[in-house]
Amino acid sequence: MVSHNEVSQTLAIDDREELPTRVSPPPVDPPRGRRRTKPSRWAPWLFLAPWCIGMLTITLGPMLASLFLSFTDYNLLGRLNWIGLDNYVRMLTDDERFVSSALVTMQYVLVSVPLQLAFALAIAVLLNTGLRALPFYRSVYYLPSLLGSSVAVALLWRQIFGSDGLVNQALQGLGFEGLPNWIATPEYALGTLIVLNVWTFGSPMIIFLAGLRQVPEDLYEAASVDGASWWRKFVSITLPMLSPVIFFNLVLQMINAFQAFTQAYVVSGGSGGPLDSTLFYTLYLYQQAFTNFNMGYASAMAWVLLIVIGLFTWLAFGTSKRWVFYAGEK
Amino acid sequence: MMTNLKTHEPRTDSRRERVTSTRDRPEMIRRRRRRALSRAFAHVGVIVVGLLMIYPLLWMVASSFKPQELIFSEPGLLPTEFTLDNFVSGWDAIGVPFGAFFLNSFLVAACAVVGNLFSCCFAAYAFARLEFRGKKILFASMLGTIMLPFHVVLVPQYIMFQSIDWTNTYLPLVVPKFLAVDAFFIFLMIQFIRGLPRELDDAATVDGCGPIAVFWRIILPLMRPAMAVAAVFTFIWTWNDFLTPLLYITDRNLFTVPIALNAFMDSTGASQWGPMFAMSVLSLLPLFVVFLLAQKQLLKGIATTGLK
Amino acid sequence: MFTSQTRRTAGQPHPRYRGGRVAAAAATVATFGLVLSACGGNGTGSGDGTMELQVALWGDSDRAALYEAAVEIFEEEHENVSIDLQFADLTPYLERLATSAAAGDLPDVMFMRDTHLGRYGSSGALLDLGEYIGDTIDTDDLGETAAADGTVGDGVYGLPSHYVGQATLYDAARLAEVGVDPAELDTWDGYAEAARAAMDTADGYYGTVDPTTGSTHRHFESWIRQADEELFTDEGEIGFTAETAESWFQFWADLRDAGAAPPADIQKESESSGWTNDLIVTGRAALRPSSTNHLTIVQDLTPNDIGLAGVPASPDASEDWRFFPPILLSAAANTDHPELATELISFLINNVDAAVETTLSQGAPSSAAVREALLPELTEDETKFITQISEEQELPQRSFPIRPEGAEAFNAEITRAGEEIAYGRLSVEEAVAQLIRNGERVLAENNG
Repeated sequence: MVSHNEVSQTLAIDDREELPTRVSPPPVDPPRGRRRTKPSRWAPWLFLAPWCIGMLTITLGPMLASLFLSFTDYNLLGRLNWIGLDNYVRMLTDDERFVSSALVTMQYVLVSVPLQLAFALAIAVLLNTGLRALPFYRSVYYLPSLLGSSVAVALLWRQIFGSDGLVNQALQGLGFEGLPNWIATPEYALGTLIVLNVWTFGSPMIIFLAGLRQVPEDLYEAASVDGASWWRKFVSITLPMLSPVIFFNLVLQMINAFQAFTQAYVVSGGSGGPLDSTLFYTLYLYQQAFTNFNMGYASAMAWVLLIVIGLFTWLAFGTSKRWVFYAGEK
Repeated sequence: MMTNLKTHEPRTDSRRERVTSTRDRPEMIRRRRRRALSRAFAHVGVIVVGLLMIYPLLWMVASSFKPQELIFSEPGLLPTEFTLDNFVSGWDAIGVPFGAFFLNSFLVAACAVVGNLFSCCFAAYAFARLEFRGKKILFASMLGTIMLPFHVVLVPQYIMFQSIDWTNTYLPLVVPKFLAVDAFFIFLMIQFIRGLPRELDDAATVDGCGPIAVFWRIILPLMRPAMAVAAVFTFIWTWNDFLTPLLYITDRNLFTVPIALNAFMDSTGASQWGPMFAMSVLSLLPLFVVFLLAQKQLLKGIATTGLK
Repeated sequence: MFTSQTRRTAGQPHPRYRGGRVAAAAATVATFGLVLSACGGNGTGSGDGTMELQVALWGDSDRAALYEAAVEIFEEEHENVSIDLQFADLTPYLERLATSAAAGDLPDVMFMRDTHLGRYGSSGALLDLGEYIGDTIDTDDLGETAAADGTVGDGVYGLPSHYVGQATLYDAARLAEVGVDPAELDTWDGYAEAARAAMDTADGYYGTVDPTTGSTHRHFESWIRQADEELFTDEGEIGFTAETAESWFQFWADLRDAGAAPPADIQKESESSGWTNDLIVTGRAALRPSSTNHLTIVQDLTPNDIGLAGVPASPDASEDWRFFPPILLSAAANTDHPELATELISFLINNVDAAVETTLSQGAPSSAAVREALLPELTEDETKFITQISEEQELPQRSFPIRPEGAEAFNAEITRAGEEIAYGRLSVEEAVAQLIRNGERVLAENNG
């Protein structure tokens, strides 16, 4: 039974204020002039202490080190010369593989994120019909996401998308002929990775499911009384009520997709082949760092990616005003 | 926005009552029938899609019971020859019973869960509710840590941990969790805390509670569902992590499961696929159990119900 | 281009290894005001006087178990020595090696790829074994070229424990069936004819596996050396002509066009899970360019009878083209126990009892005496491959160039060229031009 309530207060909620670049309006909203927790000088720092220590000792050091190294030709084995912006210039003007890996990643982000979200949403809707064995189904659907980066994934994938894999057997059964070898054809290899990403849709699905259960049932009932079709209800009730959750998933999955690495690494054996068709940005970064020992260059690539992800996140937050509907703010 | 909530809820409640009262009996029966039908359809749909989803996993399970030479030559799910050899030989292949790796992974994952819960709640509370100088910058840099590909920080981190002699211990895997290095979870928890009506804090403040008391008495109890989410995700991700333990753990007595699974692989020769599948299947079981046990909390957590 | 120029004009000599590490650490420290304790060498002494040696090798748990048994013999011979054997599959192994080298934390003794020796050797991370040869290290039973195999600049940074030779594997029954005498595989023309004879397009059976899209290119190097050229010059630049490379890729393109070599996607798919799905293992190809030690691996995986032949050579090939990539043993420059580490290296190279444990897991033992002593212990196939290497090593051979820094990236470019042709994206000439263009650049970047 759904309890009426803070649909939007859940996840995405006050996200709009959390723009990394736009943190300006302090997340604690002052305008209502309500009594606020009395400002205490030391209390925040007490709470922040573990994080601050971690930031200073473990996170920030290596991050800044990588920023520093991005201006050097560091090769892991001792060579370390300051070369200014050379890494960045080379990347943007003189590296075909950099460009192709950036394009592969962009394609991946643009296709797999919406697909995965749509799929996760569809399954969540399917699972939200009040079925009895819901917990069991949920667990089954989450199973693929448990598999993580196991080497087994690569083999499973071959078994499905190989020349005589499951997909081709099924298509042959339907009378198709001359089927491609999906994983080993440059035109399709990226597609199989997108499917792999969609396959591991467990986390966004769970989040959608939670959001769906929070949509007040009475909205649907009222719509039913008005004779609205299922689709109409979905479009005019479910989607708007769910928009904050969709937004939250969108941002996180986007960041994940930009950093996609493991699946391509495992499936292509680290090569990003065939013909660099699955050479993700981070996979190329990894090759530069650990195969070619160009850690300086890899660090520069990492910071470029950070800026790009930051930009996209900022954009997402910027557009969210137009389509994310916060029930609590009518 | 929190205040609107108050006005919103009563309104929907009253409308629901109105709707219910206008319903007459025959309509309810028709409705029920239609529901039963759609429910049956839903079940079929869910099962079919579910089978598609887990087919690859079923194949893996089936393969773990096949003799090595049949794994690739026999495409079907049902093994024509059934054997437990893969499990038997896989269990002892590394010179340490595989159970030890489960214990190791469990230890690391459990510590990581405790660490993340401990540190991330604190930080999230400060970011979501307290005022302090430099908050914007700290917040932005926290988000930034999520966005930097981790491969470039691996080496500086290794140099650091190595210089204090932490290699071949679990400290590099666990200590960062106690220091809230997984910013993702801070971010998640900030979102949860923001979903809690501020009136509760305010009321407590009026009663004379300081920030610590507010956190302890109001926020923390309400965050339990959120913590369940963080706990499950931390457990699964730590359990599956490969690169970090690979760098720090070289003593096979300390191997975690993914490192141990990699020990079946020989890319220059013939890998031990059978045992690899068998142990992979076994290593999924604890994760599945954790997920089953926690999913109720998980679902609650993401929805932050429970207020009222 | 400009990067390498900048580096050259910067005119800074490569800092020595330790200096670089400290610099990297200092960068870490200085930037964020962290205080790090100075890092020492490998902390491998424990209180009770036991000396601990870390030994690292790549491979799976099976190989680790073999070496475990071997080092136990060493531990028995040496009181107060305890050996910590570490292993991981090749790719993770190399990543761990790179990371620990950056931290100055290399294992005391490690197996080293010939592809990586130049890089590690010139960085100063490895111990110069030259000083220990004739002292703790016995190289009497190694060939004359042994020390040369591990020489970078003025130092010997690795010694071969095993050798890998090039060979052709063939499906004996298939060749017999189509009436091909394995002796015909001696020449490239014979090889091509055999491949064409063995293929059966209708049945999805190919004459030969295509080596051009794979990840190692030893046969390409054989081809080049047969043309009296080298993959790399001593200066670390490209050592072959475009014509030679083109003729190699053309040879395979012709076979592919004829259906005697598989189309690109079939070939790539078969490479995707190690040996398990190799076309000769799954009985879909009759010939396969490979290394000698692959004979036993392949034979273990397939019921078909696999034969071993040498690398084909053109009648006008240079006489001394043969080469034997070594599996090397190296020690860390900053090991606390250089004597002991070098003793262990010598032990792993020369000790017959240890060799009985490890047999041919890494290839053919470098020591002639060990090989001799092993013979009675070996299976028929193992004997075949070890004999072939022994016989071929008797033939004249000119030295085999140390891989320059950037060789890994260069290797990837060779694969890339092979794929471009196989997938029909580029013509042979275009692909070779691209290989030379990109290859020159990756080598210059690293050696500028």
